[in-house]
Amino acid sequence: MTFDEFLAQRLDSLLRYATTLTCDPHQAQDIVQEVVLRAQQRWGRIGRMEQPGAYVTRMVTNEFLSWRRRRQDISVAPQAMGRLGATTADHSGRVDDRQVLLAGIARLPRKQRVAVVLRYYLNRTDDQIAVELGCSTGTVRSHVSRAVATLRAGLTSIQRVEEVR
Amino acid sequence: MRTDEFEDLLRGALDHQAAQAPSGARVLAALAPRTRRRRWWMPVGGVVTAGLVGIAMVSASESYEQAAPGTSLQVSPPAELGNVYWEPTWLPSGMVEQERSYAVDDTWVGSIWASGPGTAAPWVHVISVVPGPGQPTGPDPSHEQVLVNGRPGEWTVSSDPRHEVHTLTWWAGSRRFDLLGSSLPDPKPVLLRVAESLRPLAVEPTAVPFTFAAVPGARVDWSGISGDRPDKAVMITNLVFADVGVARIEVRPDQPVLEGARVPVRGGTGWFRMAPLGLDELTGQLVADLGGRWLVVSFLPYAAKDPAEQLNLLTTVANSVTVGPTPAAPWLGRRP
Repeated sequence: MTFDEFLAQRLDSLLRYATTLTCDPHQAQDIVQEVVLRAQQRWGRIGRMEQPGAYVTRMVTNEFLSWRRRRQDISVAPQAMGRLGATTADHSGRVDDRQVLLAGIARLPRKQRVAVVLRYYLNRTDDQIAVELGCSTGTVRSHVSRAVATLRAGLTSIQRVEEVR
Repeated sequence: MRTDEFEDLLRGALDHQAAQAPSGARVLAALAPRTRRRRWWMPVGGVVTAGLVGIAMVSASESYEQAAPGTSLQVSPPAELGNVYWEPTWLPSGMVEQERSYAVDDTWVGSIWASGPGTAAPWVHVISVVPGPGQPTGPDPSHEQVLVNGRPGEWTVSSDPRHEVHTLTWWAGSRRFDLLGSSLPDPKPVLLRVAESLRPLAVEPTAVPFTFAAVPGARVDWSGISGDRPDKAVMITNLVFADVGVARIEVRPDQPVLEGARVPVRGGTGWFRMAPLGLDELTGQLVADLGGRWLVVSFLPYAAKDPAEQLNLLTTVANSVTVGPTPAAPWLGRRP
């Protein structure tokens, strides 16, 4: 597979993955741009791999983690969430819940966020996530379980507020 | 809220967030100048290499900008429709490619992706159509309107009595895209995400080597290859008998069920039976041994047709067909 063929097949999925990680399309674009440029320079080696897509996806994950380390001040501002776009053709209750969840995801610690995205967006198994994050399967389960508990708690508290109203 | 409901909601939220991703064209546009800028800092040998890469990048970004038939990446398809399949780069977990088919008049190509055999398992059917004269070029206002990659489209649900089939249809350039799905847990967001992920895939033509001696009143409609694995590829073609019905001709590597009456066909003996394969009418099915492969000819009549008539028609078709070698289909069973 040539680098151009790889880009044609995978660039958009990398951008979508990065957007779920960063909760910000602009950061996602920056991260993917950095990764793709590096992948292009190393394509002689990456292109010969059995699954170059998986390798570059891992590069995006690592870039997201290191990006966050380099720029500790990054957090998702409310206006960034607003930029995520208007919802279309959906049930209003679900939209409210979704917005609460998206805000909750944006506040998760970075490794928990990666674990949640890999599990629920890319449908990866615990073992696959462990390889991606370079940790044990038990640690992955802990990340996912804590993240889910946090997100559910956020959702429940909003529902209680709605009930009181 | 139950755990499965919460997980569905979470998946939906992440899908929604992913749909806000920027266009790949922006990254490509940003990459090209960076590549050129870095070229100045490279040694002479690197300059040559980078120049070649730069040319490739420029030509790639040009092709991304030419046409945008239904994708956010704006990839322009190769010229010949028969050589281009629109491939999903995302599908629900577990789905693999199970069929590629094409109209012999080049008006459409399609592929089927499923997570198991039979029509009960979740499946997605991607079809790219060149609408003929008089066919709609936009959504029907009486249907539910949807935006697909920013393009006008419609959402419909079929009344197939055995299972619901959801269809997302949209128009882009000179094409119409039909994306059908069944047994999907949350069909609309799933199909919208699949639609967004479609990419043109230039491939060798999926030519299925059937030739027919003259069969009165019949014309070949479409052909394809289906199966679960490359070594189990099944060749298919369909003959339409105007106002009468459709004959489906398959060449299978595995022996089918040999039941029914023994009948003469292709200079030997075949098996004929009537089976409830269609929705309404009983379907006649004729099986013949091709010596290592099996010819299965079925007939789906538009109206009731007695078994003797069906047998005559199927025997005529079976005797008239010449079958070439089954083409390689390495894509069968692969994930997106």
